[in-house]
Amino acid sequence: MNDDNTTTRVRQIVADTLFLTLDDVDEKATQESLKNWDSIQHLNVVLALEQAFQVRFPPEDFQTMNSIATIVENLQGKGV
Amino acid sequence: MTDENNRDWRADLRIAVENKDGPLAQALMVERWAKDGGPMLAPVVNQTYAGLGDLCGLAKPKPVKISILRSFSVEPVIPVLQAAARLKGIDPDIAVSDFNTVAQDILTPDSIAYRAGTDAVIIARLTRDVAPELWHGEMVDVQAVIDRVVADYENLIGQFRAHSDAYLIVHGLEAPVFAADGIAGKNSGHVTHAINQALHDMAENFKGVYILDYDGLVARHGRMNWSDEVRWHTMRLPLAMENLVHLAHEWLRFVVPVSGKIAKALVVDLDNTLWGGIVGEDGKDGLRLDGDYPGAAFQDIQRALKTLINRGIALAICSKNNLDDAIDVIENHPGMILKKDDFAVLRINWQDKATNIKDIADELNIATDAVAFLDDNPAERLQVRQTLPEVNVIELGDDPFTYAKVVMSEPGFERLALTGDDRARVQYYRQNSQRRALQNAASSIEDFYRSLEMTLMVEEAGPHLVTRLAQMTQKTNQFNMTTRRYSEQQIENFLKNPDASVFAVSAWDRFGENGVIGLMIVNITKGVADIDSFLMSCRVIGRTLETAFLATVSEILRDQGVKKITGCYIPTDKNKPAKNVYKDHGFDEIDENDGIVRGQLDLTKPVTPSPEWITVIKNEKD
Repeated sequence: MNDDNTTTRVRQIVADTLFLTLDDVDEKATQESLKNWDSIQHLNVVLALEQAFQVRFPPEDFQTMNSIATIVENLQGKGV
Repeated sequence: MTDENNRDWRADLRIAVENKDGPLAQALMVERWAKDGGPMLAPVVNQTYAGLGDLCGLAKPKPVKISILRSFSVEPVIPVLQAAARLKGIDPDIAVSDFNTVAQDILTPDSIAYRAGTDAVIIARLTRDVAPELWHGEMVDVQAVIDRVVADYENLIGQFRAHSDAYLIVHGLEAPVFAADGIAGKNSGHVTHAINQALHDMAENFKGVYILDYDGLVARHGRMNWSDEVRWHTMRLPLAMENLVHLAHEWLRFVVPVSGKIAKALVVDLDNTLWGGIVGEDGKDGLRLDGDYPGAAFQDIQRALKTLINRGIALAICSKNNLDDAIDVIENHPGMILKKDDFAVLRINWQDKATNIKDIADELNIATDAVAFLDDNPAERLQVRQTLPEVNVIELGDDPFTYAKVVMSEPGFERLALTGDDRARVQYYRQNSQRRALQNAASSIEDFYRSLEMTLMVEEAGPHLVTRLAQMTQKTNQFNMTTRRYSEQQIENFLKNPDASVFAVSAWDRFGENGVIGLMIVNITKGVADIDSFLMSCRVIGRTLETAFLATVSEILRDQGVKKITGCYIPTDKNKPAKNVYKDHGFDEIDENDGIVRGQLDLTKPVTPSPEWITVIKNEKD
């Protein structure tokens, strides 16, 4: 799977979980730039990503997964 | 999921929503949920329904109000439950307590346990919180632990019942993954099993209190992989991500019957659903239906359907086949577990399935939203979902060996309690077909009534009828004057109230017993009896039994000194058949507001008498 594809899928999942549209979540989006992305929703984002990509994120990853870019980077590190 | 198809699916869903095609959007989501239900899909489903604000061709969902008192993080399960419930036609309003405040919440009258209009409260606690010594494998006095846990819960439940009529669902305890005493112990779960058994026995002393088999839930999905210790220790989430949907679905098995959105009948296909193969092509002898692979899958599904009959769910056949071919298999194939008599209605023809399902619902005298449909063919399922979106179309995969489990896990088939009436109901449906045959043969409607040889018994209800009466208030939609839904606890309160009378009515005729088929609840003040509830089961509508019931109750009340009966008709989407009942029985209209018609009946004058073709038995309280 190429990078663009992974990025789009991550954007879609973040958008779905936060009740936003794909256009609201561009590839530069971060936890700060998206108003709904609070700490409670963060867990839902992580769980949705885990289901979609069939991976598991340890607690150490939670804080660094604070933007589309860092999530994609993390997933690539897991071989996605 | 991890699929490339996701994008096509999303595009299809988006187009369905843009076209305001609610049934298609729902069909796409139901199909997908069966494969990938969980935290990823839940917000998509919830958002889609929110976007279909004006329903776009879907039926209005049934509202249900639930409070969850918990000792762990249920937050990630909530959107999953909301999505799963919405796909079943239910719109839940869910409140969640603080962590570990179960006792405080139950003792505080303004806590979320007692939100106005709450239908059900779930107490979700874990063995590690309730009996940590068991969870951690300490050497303990087992009986002392059992006694303590049961006494704790008995106290909590008693307190709750003193303040609330809502259903109460209590999580049972889960056994530790490994037994403390290893292979030398009796079995790994014997202590938690003993506690769960004691909780069950204790709960039976209360009305409307149920123990959720949490240990069974964990076992079904694999104890070894159920929990996620890292998530527990970092965020008090004891379930692995994969299991969030399983807890949501377990809750749904209670939420569905609490909401009343239950299936009263299951319509089944034949070819490749009840047996393997196509009778029109493979012939009777070529079908797969026996005790070995691969025919055993179909005997399993037939056995599963047989259990539904015992829950009072009527089976009906809807199949595109030549009638004679299909009947030959049903009656003469040695592998058939189900017999022809197990089916209340047969629709074996070449009509489309949605039309047949409507006919079947009419014949059974139930609404189409109380029908479930089982068919291996995805195209047939889609046709029904698009034409009758209120029908509970059960999603099936490709492997027939999974079908029985899908049926057994379907929440629409759950009942909170089974009464003798449930177990006998399928007989009533079958007898109704015989009654229809008689009606067709009779020369006049009066002749038909006379030939039925009907007897009606009116009794002032006692405690043995509480479960059945509560159930009728929850399930009866058509002949129901006020559609007030009551829990067993609320019915019990009416029985205890000296100013209220609860009348139950049973009926039988030449074809057999109908069981308890109606009720009336009246509140009596100063010689006036006001009807709070008056309903009759749909399976006896059209036999003048309501006239006999009203006449008999009027007589009993008059003997007790009542001078006047008042009552009202509150219209709903479904209770048109009840609209003119009071008017037709001599009630004078008092007023009409927003469609609610109030009327009164003067008992000092003669009332509409019981029809001469019904024998009436009165069974008054002594």
